Amino acid sequence: MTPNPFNLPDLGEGLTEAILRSWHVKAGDKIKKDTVICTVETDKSLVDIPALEDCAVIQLCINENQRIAVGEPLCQLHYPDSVSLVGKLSEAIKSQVAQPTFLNLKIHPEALNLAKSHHLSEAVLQSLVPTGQLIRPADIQNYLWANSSSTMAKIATESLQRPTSTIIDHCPIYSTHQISAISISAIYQSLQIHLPLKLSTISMAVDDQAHTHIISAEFSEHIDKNQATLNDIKAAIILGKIPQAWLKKSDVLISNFGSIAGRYGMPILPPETKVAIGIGRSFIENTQAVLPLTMVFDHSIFTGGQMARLLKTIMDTLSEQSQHVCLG
Amino acid sequence: MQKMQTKQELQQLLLQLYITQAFDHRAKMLQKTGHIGTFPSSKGQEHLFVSLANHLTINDWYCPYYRDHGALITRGMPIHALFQYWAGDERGNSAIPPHTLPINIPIGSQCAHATGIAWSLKHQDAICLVTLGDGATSKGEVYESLNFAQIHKLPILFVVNNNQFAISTALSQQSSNPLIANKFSNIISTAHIPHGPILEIDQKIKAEITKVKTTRSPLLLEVMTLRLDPHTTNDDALIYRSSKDIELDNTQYPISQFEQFLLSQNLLSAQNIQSIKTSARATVDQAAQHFLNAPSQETNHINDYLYA
Amino acid sequence: MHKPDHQTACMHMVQALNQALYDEMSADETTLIAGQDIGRLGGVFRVTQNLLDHFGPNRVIDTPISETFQAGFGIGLATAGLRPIIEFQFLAFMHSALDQMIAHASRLRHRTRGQLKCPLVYRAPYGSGVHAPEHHSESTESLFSHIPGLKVIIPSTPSLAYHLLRQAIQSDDPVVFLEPTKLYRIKQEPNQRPPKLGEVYIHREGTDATIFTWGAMTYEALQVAKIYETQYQIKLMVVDVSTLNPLDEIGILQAAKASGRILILHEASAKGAVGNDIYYLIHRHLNINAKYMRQLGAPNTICPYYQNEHLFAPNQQSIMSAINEILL
Repeated sequence: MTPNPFNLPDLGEGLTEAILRSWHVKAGDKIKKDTVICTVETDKSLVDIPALEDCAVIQLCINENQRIAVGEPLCQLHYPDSVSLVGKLSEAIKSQVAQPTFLNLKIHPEALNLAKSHHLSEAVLQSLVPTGQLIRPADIQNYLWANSSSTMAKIATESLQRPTSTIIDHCPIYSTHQISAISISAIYQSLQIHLPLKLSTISMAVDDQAHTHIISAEFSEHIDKNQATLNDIKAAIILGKIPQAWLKKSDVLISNFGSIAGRYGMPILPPETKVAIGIGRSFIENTQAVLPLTMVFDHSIFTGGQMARLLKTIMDTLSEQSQHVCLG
Repeated sequence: MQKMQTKQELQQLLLQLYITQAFDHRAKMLQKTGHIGTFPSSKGQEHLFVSLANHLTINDWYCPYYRDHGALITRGMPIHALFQYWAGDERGNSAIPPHTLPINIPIGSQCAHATGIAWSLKHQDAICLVTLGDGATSKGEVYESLNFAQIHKLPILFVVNNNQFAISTALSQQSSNPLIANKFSNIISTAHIPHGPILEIDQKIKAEITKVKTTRSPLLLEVMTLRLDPHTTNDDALIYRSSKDIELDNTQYPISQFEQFLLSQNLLSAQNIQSIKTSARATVDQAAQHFLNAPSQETNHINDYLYA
Repeated sequence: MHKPDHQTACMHMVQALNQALYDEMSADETTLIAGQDIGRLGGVFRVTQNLLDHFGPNRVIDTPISETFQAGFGIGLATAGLRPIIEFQFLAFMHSALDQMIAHASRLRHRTRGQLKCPLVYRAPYGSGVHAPEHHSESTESLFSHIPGLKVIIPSTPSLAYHLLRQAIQSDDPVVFLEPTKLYRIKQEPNQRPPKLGEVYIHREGTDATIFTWGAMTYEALQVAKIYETQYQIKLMVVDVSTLNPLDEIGILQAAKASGRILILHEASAKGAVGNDIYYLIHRHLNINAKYMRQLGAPNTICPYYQNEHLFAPNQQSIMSAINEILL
């Protein structure tokens, strides 16, 4: 028997707690879907809470007339085919509170992250500004440039030193409606087919007019499912709505510069990224609408043939999906 | 007719009617010479508003719409202040009589206010009277107010001045029922007063007001009137009415018929009538002069009364 | 009914509002309340619970479901010398009553040159975050703040709600009193100082940056301020604007001057909103560099139905990003 906590659900309208008035089941009961488990009293009314699936009651967690907060367990249940994903996602989003260190320093949160990633000591940080003044990210960047010329430069030169190769082609498309979302979805699906290439994580460069943000696969998957437009993603970035976990390095980087301007462009391959795909601006070629695609890859990892096959799969998928949109 | 008025009462009523008539006339003249703004004349309906005010006490509440000049003057509003109001000067409103709301411009909304006032009178002797036009009976707030007044048996009289036009919209395009009283008779007690001689209408109005005072229950009273002038000075009735219709209506002008009646019944002499008319005009013209001579308001008035 | 020891007890906002109504109705017999479902039921959120039993049907009036009528009825009561408090079930349903508020309540005193006054309170819950049906989560406080002659008050804690509602009832002006639904049932310790209607309320002093906010966002701002203080030694001043119309311009400018780094935080979209007035006020008088000023609100879109409402209002993460920017 696998115990699953059955929590007091959010009963809506901002209610935060309830009093358990009566149990209608006891430990050991096997109950059917929709059986009333208990009655709780909120500030507004009495509510009968039912089981959502057939299950067995393992243990009751609180007594009658006891107060319980939303989200706390009422009882432990066992589900015959138990997989309940509810709650896991929200847990993941919750667990993002920064870890406190350097508790005695008055420091900007971004400066603190920089300091940690460069293993700077408290003494060094304290020396950067007069006592009591806020340590800002710029203070740390200045220190880093002054004291370790190689750190930043290394990353930049590293990517230039890699042996890269480039393939360009025109992909026929049958609708330009939501072409950005379709392209990303097509690339995502094609990578699933070419899994032996070990291109498991995918990210996108999204421009907010000031910075370029790299966001990763989980979000691309969202695009595929929800048909969200890139504008939504941009808005989410600008509003800070994208979880930090999604902003990370990946094997494949997509750059959608064509949504602004430019048929061809060769994206830089950031360190740890193996392939970069640029989506250019669509145009009409011999009466056929085409979308130019540019693929830059690390030639020390892949052969030209592997990458040409990947590009073909992407183009086939993209053509087909744009046709679906065209046909409605 | 229930009762013969004394000569004094007839003279008083005639004076009130002439003052209202003179007010309408002077206001139209002042509008045409740029001294006051858009003005809604009450010509043909003077007697309705005068009678309503006459049969209330000053402790009863009166909630006007915007054609109620006769009622406001009868309740004691200084005539120059009423000119001032129509000249775009809110100081005019500071002279509203006790238990009287200021003129209500947005159609029908005054009915909800009157219902609130009537609630406060539940345990008093006074009643609340609210006026509205036939067009206003298309507004939700009117229905909502009638309904609430009936639920709680509030001492309120809704008076519909049915002059058959809402600007250009004729009653047939306005109301599913040609009689407003019938339109609402499932919600609230209603009464209807047809066209008729001024004294007869006056006595009927008195009876309905007395009914609300004694039963302390709500009533909707529809009074048929003629709108002898356009909706306002900015309206042109000839666009939507034939001149023949308008002329025909003007032959029915209630005040003229009242004069004929007084003369034919030897109730007042021609000389007597003429002197009342002259006196009324003098009163109104004096008030107009007072209004024209008044100093303009302080500019800080636009901020001074925003918050308590 | 709750005990009158509200000053010491830890209450939630619904209890505090109920207490304020009880105390004010006990103190002044010209006060009365009207609205749909407020009598026997005690209001959809139970704010008026038990008041019918205490004060009887002459002072606790269940009205038919017509917001326009309720608003106009209140104006009549107020004109006749009473002090009505009109409850609307949700802010979005109050919009149909805007005509009565704009055309009559706000201007009665002005247009009669003080001969008549309109001392009434229009109460409504507002704001997102409680998984409510459509049309229950709007944040349109700026619509009302645009109307001269109306006072617009928003409390952010139970004790502020208690004091501000009592002061609103005592005010001789028409007051739109908006209650953040999200905070309705969150218990909070009483505030040390009572608030004053018409003045900003400083919840937390600080000189590193100043957050101007109101309603449910105040709660988020206070949580963020705690994190900055404990983890980064950064002290944020949290200013609850609380009276949105007319604005306490002097109070706002003093608080802005204290740090010179400004975040204006609100739940509503910034389009045509009162937050812009605050931004402009500070900018005009203090001439603070734009890089030290941020305004954070919802995107300019319809408040999403509740599956997506978390994408609408700012959250702790986006507040922290904005604070980080102005602290750079």
